[in-house]
Amino acid sequence: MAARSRPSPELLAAQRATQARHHQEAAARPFDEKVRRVLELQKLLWPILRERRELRPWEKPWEIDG
Amino acid sequence: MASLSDCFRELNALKKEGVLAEYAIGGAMAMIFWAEPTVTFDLDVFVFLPGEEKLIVTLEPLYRTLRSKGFEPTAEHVLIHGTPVQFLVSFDPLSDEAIESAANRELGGVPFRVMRPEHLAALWLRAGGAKRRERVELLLQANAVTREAIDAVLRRHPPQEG
Repeated sequence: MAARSRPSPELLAAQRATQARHHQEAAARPFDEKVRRVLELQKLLWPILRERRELRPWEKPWEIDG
Repeated sequence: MASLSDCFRELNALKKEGVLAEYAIGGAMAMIFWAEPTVTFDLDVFVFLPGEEKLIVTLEPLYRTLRSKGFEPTAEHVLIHGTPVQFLVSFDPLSDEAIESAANRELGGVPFRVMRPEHLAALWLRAGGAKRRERVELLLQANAVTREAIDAVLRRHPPQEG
């Protein structure tokens, strides 16, 4: 097996801490902002889902503005 | 254009009119309140229906009221001000507690009730499935809940036989 460079435990810990901080910051955003993000995600995901399978009538972006 | 708070306002009206005894937002939209946003296409609303204790076999009385307000049920959802809502009658003591102890919050000045993260996680773990376990992880990563709090709920409500 080839010898490969590996991240140090410190680098790994720093990267995981950054990731955890990102999740916590995203979670701490105001609810109305998160609702708007959900609406954006619906618009992004819907065309992809529609290509993959038959969607139920309610599976489409919500017609609301936040 | 309508907003999610219009939908919450309608839920509050249903409660005030006595069509619902109580409600709490559950599912992915409730998780979004406590953790980072994830995509969902419907709003799960857990409810107690009014009246004496009896087996609920139909949501027709609720749907009839919604129809009279111009919200037409389609299959298992009702489109309320642009948001597809699925009404779920509380089905066991765990979901009862989740509704009873829901948090009171506001969106755009409109109050609404949202399940607490320990109940969301307990309901998802009890129901099982990869997607639901992933949501529990998101709640934990967001420090919205601890494993101890989830375990405490599950201990209070062991799986029912049959």
